[in-house]
Amino acid sequence: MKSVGAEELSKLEKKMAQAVALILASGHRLPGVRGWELRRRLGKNFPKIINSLDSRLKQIGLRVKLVPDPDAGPDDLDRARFYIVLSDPLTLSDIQTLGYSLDELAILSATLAYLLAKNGSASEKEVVEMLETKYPRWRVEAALERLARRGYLARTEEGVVSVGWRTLVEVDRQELLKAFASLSSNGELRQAQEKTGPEEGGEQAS
Amino acid sequence: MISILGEIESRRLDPFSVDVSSLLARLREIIERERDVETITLDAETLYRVSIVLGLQQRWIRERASSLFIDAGMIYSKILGSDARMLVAALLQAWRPIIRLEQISMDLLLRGYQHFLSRPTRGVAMAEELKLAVERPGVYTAIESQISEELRGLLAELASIDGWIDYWDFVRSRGEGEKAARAYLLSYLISRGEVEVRINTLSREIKIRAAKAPSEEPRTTSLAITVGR
Repeated sequence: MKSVGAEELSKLEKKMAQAVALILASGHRLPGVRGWELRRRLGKNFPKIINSLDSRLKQIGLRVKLVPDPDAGPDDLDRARFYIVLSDPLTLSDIQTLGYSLDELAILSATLAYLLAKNGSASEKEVVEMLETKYPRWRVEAALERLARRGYLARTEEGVVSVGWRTLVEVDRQELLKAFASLSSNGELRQAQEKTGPEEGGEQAS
Repeated sequence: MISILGEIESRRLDPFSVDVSSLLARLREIIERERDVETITLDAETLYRVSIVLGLQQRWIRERASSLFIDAGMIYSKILGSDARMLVAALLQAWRPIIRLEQISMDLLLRGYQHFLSRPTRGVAMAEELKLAVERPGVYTAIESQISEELRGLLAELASIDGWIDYWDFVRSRGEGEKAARAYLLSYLISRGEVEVRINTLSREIKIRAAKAPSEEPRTTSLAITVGR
């Protein structure tokens, strides 16, 4: 016969598996689930289950991220959205598997840093002009379009571009600005990344 | 005044671009001078928009404090002085992509199957049409042999090329009209291991060549290509 502790542990394991399935394989258009959905499936103690899941996920380089609803308070867990994200930074060699080109990510990086330094939004004309210092207009517009479709940027009919929902979930604003601030003339950040950088060339995928 | 304040709110302009204290002083003058209902209504509207801009100013200050007072000018200069790899390296410090499953799960499959079974039968006419089509094996054999013939032709064409060739050059070599069909057939050859693919994610180059012998290795990589570009 199982002890009470073992039974509780088994129950917790089952609930964690349910939570992972809900968060990772939600049938919504957007990833993640709302707190009320977790509460409905896991019960009122769902924050404790999510905490246990977070500890477990950290062992494999993932973590649970809670993003409060902007129209609700930060303590409103029911309306907050829960995601599973990577817990450690990626390296340049990892980007080959992400489905983005180096130029697209460079455009994303520059645009986000610029927008975040302007409190989240700027006129699209201004952003395009800034990016045109590095890339031709067609490349910039195609990249902005794709990034907006993926939720990293939001564009309005008034010609304003702002950070999108995915940026709010995936990008740490302060970390990005700090990283830009450390892009010093001696290129320390680059040297640190290049230690684990990609080898140029092809990848077999037959 | 209302339109200026509205512009700041809707276009998310710098909320400090308007001098709120002088605006309020002007509003006070108007309130003291004009006391008709229409003006008072407009004054109330202006006051409401001023309160929104004050809220935006508060948020602006809070966010500026959290952004380490790094301004857009500094970021602009960093962008100008950095190459693509440095910009990406900076992003990677702060980027933690969402993990999500997009495949169908067994649970969803079962739910779909249950839903399918619960649907009322739509009569026998369609079922009989389907039966007739299935019972005409000649149709399928003809289509299958035609596709096999086209696959052989495409593979022979690729084998006649010495070394690697750009994927897009190959699928477009017979003109835009045949591009989609060639890409479709090529995908079969790639899946069978009869064509080798080499991709460079950074430069987005895709090279192909006919394999000397079909690869026996299990295929673990999917390659999605948008042909309509």
